[in-house]
Amino acid sequence: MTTRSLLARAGQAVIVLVSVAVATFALGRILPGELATAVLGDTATPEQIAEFNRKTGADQPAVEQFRTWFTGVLHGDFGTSALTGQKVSDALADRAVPSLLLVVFAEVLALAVAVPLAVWAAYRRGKAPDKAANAGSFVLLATPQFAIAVLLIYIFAVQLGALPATGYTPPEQDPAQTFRTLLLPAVTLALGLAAVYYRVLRAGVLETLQQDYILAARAQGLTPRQVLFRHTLRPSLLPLVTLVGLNFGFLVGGAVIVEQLFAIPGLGTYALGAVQTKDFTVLQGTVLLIAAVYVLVNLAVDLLYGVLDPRIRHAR
Amino acid sequence: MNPLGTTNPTTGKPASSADGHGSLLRLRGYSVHLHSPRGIVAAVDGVDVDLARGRTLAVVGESGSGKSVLCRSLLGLLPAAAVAHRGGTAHFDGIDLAVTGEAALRDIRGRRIGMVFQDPMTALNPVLPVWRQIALPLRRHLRLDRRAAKRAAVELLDSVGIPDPARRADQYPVQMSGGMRQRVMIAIALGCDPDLLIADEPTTALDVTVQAQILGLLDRLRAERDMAVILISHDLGVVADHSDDVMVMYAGRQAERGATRGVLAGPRMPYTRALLDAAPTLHGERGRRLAAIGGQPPDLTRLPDGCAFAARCPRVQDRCRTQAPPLAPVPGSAHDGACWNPVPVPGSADLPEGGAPIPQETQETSRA
Ligand SMILES: Nc1ncnc2c1ncn2[C@@H]1O[C@H](COP(=O)(O)OP(=O)(O)OP(=O)(O)O)[C@@H](O)[C@H]1O
Ligand SMILES: [Mg+2]
Repeated sequence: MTTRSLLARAGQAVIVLVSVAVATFALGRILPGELATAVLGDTATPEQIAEFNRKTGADQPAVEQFRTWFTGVLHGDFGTSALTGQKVSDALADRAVPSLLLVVFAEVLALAVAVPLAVWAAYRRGKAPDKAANAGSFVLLATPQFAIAVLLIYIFAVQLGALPATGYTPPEQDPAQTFRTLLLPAVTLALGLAAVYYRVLRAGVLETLQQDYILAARAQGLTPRQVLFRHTLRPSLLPLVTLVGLNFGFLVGGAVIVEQLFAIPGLGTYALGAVQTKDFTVLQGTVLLIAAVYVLVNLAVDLLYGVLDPRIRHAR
Repeated sequence: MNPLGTTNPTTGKPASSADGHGSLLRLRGYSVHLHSPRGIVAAVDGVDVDLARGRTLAVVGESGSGKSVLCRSLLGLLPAAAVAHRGGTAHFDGIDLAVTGEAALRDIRGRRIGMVFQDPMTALNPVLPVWRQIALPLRRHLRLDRRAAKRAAVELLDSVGIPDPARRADQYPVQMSGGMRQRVMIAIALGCDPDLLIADEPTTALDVTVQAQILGLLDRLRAERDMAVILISHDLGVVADHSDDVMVMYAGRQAERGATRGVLAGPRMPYTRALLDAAPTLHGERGRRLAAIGGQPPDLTRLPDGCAFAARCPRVQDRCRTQAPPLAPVPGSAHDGACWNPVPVPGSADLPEGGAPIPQETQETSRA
């Protein structure tokens, strides 16, 4: 990718993030109910409410509130939760770690299973292993996430006692335990992802195998392994890369079911709580952070496209 | 008198119909029948080839006449499920290709038989730098390590006439012109110094000046390396200039074959004649498809009992519709044809019209 198109992408990213900031801020004002009553309770007097609004800046005009908040954000200060008194940036930093670890872990597991399986199944198209893998992916796609989670907890935590059923240990305390606590939730997410990745990559590999250069590679006496992994895999990866990126962005803030079932203090749970308590400062910060992750991942996907496909890199 | 003057003076036979001793590739009655949605297709039917080192055999014929299937079948590149039946024999340097398993065939492909494809735009992998595509077969067959393979790749690029090969080696196909890509394909095919090079319409996708360069390159490499070459082409101009022998295919069968100059100077099979007439001039516009023959190529799933060309043939006789003519020496020529009613040799009006192919001895006597 050229420097120019990189700059253009960075400019787009900034525009996206500012738009998200404005939109979430506006959303906070549209949602019914007031923070003051949520915090102080229904019995609060009008004086108490006015005092609360003055302290939190809620009596200022919306534009002024936005300016104050956004200036803070630019300096790394996401404000303070009126509900808990906790600094939002601290909370986000705490919450982002388990979320990111969980998603990276799940993506790695999913790809480790889906990529070899998809290549093999496509190569043996229509044969028993292909049929078995296709059927397996359908079953996984049709099974709700919570059912997978409950099943895994039952087998590995309850019956075998091999892994903790719920909870999370931060890596700075005990990295091995972090791994153990994240394993079951990551597998839960990975199974669903792997089913989709398998199907997308298998279709891509099947298409690539039709290409002339694959026939040429076979005419060179290359082994099936060389044909598949040197010649076929890379040109088949583009749709998968897009999908992995999208899922990554989505799961950082959207793995709520898994976070809840396994009691992992991640971003999804944090955002959900903020919606329920109308804690706008928290909500705005969380949404902005998730949007930033999306934007960064997308940028990475674009860069990876150029690495995977020189036609994109060398196109004018 | 023989107007052709291209036969071997000592044997009086075209080089291609030697009895197969000393030939690198020897096919006898080679047939490939394929499954298709409409039934079984006789894509290749009873083909004989004798090809010696250092010589070029051109294979010509309309689209769908089985040229590519012939080559792919020899290398075991057809999808196994598509092959309904293989017949006849195929020997490469004494190896019976019919009984050679896939693993052993893989050692022959790329190592002893190289292949160049028609379209260098699609036959090179767009996501690998060209040196890696040259290096992969070198690493597999010659067990070169990565560094040696890269060095060899650069040398090969140099030997196929690519300027600044060290820089070009790191480029991707998208950064190269069509002619340069075809040179890369040739470099890949030649990497392991094969005994036989199969070029399936290597210049059809290229423009005229580049075609000439590529064909010249193939000629030079064949001579340098004493390779045998099978040159598939639609273009009789290419065939005339760049082959020793020619096999004309029609509907999977050999229609006529012999020394190239003899066949092109005095075609006896009406189909070959039509091909020549369809080509504007032998040395004129190149790369044109042989389109101008009236009628449609036959349905290969339902070939007639008689000659496959009968329905389109200007010299058709009753016998042509009921009995397929065998490939046999044509009276008055030095080459073989499959025709009951061959085109008369130019300038010799005394040929029996509609006469059956005369047995070989008769022909020898008549020419002595
Ligand atoms: N994999 C396959 N399965 C079934 N039929 C095939 C297959 N490949 C080729 N054929 C059929 O075999 C016949 C010969 O095809 P082939 O590709 O050898 O022709 P060709 O002489 O190379 O033509 P062209 O000049 O267009 O390349 C055609 O009728 C084609 O449809
Ligand atoms: Mg062809």
